[in-house]
Amino acid sequence: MRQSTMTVSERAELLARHTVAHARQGDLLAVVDRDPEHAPPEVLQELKALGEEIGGLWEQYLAALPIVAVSRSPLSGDLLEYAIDIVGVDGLWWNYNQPLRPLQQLPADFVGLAGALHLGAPLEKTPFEVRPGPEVPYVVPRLLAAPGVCAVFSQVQIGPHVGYAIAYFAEHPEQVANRINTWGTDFYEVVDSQGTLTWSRDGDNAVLDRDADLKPWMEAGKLLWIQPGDTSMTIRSDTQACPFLALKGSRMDSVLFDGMRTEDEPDAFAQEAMEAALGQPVPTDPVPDELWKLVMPTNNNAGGDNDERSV
Amino acid sequence: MNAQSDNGTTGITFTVRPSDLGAILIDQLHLQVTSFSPFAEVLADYVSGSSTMSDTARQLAKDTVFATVAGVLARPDLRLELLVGGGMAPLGSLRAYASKAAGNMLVGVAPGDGEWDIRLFDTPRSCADWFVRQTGTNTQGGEPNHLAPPCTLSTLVAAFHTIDMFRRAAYQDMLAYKRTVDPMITLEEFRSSAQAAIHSQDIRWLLPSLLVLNPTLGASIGTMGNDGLEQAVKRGFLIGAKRAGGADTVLLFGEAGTHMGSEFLRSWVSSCGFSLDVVGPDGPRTLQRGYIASTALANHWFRFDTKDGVLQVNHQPLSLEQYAQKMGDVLLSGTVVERQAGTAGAFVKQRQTILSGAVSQEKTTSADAAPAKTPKFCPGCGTPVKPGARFCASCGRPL
Repeated sequence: MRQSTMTVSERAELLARHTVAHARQGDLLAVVDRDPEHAPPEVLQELKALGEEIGGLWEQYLAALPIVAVSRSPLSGDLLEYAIDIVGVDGLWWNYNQPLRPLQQLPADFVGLAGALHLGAPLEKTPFEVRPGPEVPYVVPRLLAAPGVCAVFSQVQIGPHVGYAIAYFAEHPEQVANRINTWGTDFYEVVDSQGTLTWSRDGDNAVLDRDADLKPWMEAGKLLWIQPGDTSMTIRSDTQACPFLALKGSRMDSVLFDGMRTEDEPDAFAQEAMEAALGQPVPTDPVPDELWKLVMPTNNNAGGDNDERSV
Repeated sequence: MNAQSDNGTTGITFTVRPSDLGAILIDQLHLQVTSFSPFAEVLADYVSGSSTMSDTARQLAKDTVFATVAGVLARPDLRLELLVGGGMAPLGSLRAYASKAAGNMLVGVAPGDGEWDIRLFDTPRSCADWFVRQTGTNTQGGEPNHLAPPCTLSTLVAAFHTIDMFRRAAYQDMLAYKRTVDPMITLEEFRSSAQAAIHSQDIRWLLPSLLVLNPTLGASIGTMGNDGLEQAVKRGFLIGAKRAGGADTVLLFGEAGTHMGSEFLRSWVSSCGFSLDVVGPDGPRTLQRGYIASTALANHWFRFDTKDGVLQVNHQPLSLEQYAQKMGDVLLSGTVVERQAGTAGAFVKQRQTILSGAVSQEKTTSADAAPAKTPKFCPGCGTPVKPGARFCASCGRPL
């Protein structure tokens, strides 16, 4: 556990400076891109200074991130302590396309950390896209189906929002090949069998591969939970007292930008289309090609405006 | 002597009389026996050439495989000891020994009445598989873990006693031809019956079986914290409540207590305590210890670790396959450490922990006085027996 070394106002000032510098950097890069051979020297010099300034801000931000006890392994009992921005989703940690996160020292049996976020008010204005997951926590059946893999739900306050951490652990994590994207990002990091840190990505249809019906997973011993506010992080498995079973909210992924929330729907559309074609719920395994062919047009010219008609 | 081949993974078995051991090991095979050996106690007073060799013993002494096995058992540097009992099983023990000099081979020993079964295993995994088949239940797993780690000894004691209290309430209901919907107990009843259970050594109950099958745990009982009841409530084993119209707190069984209470009431088959000891350059030491309680739903695996001077319990409900994997891992963990059989002469092992009040007193043997001994219990009723006793003081069974 480590407290943030930065006050909320210092953090806000850093993020404001970063936003200005990043925007200016974008403008200047656009100038350079127009004619890279003849970029004005003063522009290049300013770009260099901006790069150094942004790099410095990143270092300050990373160094100030608090390390929070997010979860606990039900296999080893080790705490999952994670560097995470808990002040708000306007932090660079939450930038979906360019998340700023330090390398983490994680428990040996750690497999992945997914999450959900029930938004409170006010919603921060962010100059970047934030994808904190749906409003209610869920599990990934294909992961839990693997022998020795289990998940733990816990609650993390993210500014005015209620976050739900969904941590996966495995008896033999090296045997869990296809993992899940880390909370708020479109990739996950993994240490391979050679001990090298590498990254991979759960597919675009990852949202289809979810289950929000949690009770059967708890009864099967695959899903455990930690009482919100329990500083001892005691893992529990009883269902009657579990607050995570009664949560209400959207199961669609939230997309936050500039203080607005929208929902990421394409996958839901694909699911409905496939279910309509099949006449039954889609399987939770990755969608096979032949299934896609059932619902997706084979015409290479398909797409674009649905009202468009060729003569 | 009886040597035969098994069809399974266990290889070869021998049956030997303890009275023949001196003649075979010392007179014929000229082996030196360390205090770590399962034969140490039997051969402690043996004078070379003092026994008559039976035909079967002579035949056994000529068997080259038995000679190798005897070599391992005379000077082992690794021992896995399982004390079995509780549930529906009487008290017994199983042990496996290895010697670095003999490679991967393990030798299982099951002392019986007048004869010992000795079994040869090619690998630690095959030995673990056999042990698990003797002590585990064939379950598929998938049970919730109501005692997920980290768990303290006091939590475990409170949880086990809750399970026992649930069973007790069910038995009392049965005796009275009634069915209580929400059985309740007072705090005082819970505490006093827990004390009684700890001192009873009656392995028909889960909590006493934990202490009897893991004799070294007794030392920790006196020093454990007093947060067990609080943790049992926190983990859903018990629910604190007020009696209607009363001010005193009573305890109801929570979801975890009801679930595990029903499980153990209906299907507790047996338990075993295990200890993996190796002889290293500095003498013998315990590498791992734990307890397994097998029911129709799961093999409840409890591993005891000491972290910052505090005993921590890691519990996992396992299928039979997972249980075999864990037990294999335990045995393998002993094969990868430095071992040195010769230093076993200085071995001093706790004999039996006698609980007195809240604090336990340990009695140990000196290395010179006697070899290491396993705590002895009456095979009929499970009551501890005095050294040298010929009959059980409790049930009268000849020992």
